[in-house]
Amino acid sequence: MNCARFQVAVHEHYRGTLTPEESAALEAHARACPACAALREACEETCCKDFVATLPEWLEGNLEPAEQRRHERHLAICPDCRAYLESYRTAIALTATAFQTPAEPLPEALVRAILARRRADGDGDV
Amino acid sequence: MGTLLTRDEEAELVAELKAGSARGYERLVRTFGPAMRAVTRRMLKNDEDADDALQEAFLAAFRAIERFEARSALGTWLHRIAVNAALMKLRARQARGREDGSEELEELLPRFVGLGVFASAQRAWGELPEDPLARKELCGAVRAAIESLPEPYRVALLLRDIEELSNEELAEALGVTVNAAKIRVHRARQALRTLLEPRIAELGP
Repeated sequence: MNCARFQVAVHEHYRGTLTPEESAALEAHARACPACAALREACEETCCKDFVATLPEWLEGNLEPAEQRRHERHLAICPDCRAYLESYRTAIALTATAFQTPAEPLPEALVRAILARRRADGDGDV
Repeated sequence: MGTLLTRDEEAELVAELKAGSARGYERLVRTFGPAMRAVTRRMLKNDEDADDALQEAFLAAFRAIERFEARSALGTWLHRIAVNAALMKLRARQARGREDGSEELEELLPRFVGLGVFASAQRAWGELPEDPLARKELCGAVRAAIESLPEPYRVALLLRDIEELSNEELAEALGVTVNAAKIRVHRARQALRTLLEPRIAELGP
């Protein structure tokens, strides 16, 4: 198992979808590769659920520095959270542009209705 | 909608309004009305209610113009008034049929298993199409998805991500704590993301 496969497999492991052989390969890789073993630890201290729960705070830069670093470590190992983060941001960007249609002039009747209501409401015209 | 008039034009218009000039009122309505109507229409979906809210918004603005200080831009000030008028209408509507929708929304949130990992692998969305027609279609799909959100979530999302209220302003507008407002927006965005996912997948790489 190489490091790229490890990143994906570690999530499958937590989801319980790895075969016993794959789980064994995962363990073997973690023993042989200190970087992946450290990443797995990082993954365990901040799970995807925690990451997603605090995503807005993270995006707005409101997390404590230690928590911020935990998130970054988690992102480094977690392809699911990287994909989720990207799509979450895209959804926000799409929302912002979805209603951007040029505003049409108000119908004359509506302009007149608004001005008539003002006259009825106020002291009359100057 | 901040830059429809130059600074000088705006100062001139405000002076006219404060003097109670009929011409000034008309200019205000014609200049800012279209963008304000876009706000009330987004928020209220029903055009008749939207135009009602627009009228209420202008009445409120005419009454308050005396107290308008040039610290904020006229467009920004009117935008908030339009948002508030639309919110008042929404509240009247909600009083009639109470909607919560949190159960419905729950189904659109991501699921986690075990120690808290995603229950299924997440797929990156990649680049969105640049072709204008595909883009337009996607915008339509986004609007439809937003409109299908349960009402409290639809409104929170609109106010935060389209009308650009701050978390604090949103909390005040919704009458909830800042934390509750943030959570509502986050849930709404997540649900929207889930609703859009199949559309994005259709676009394909």
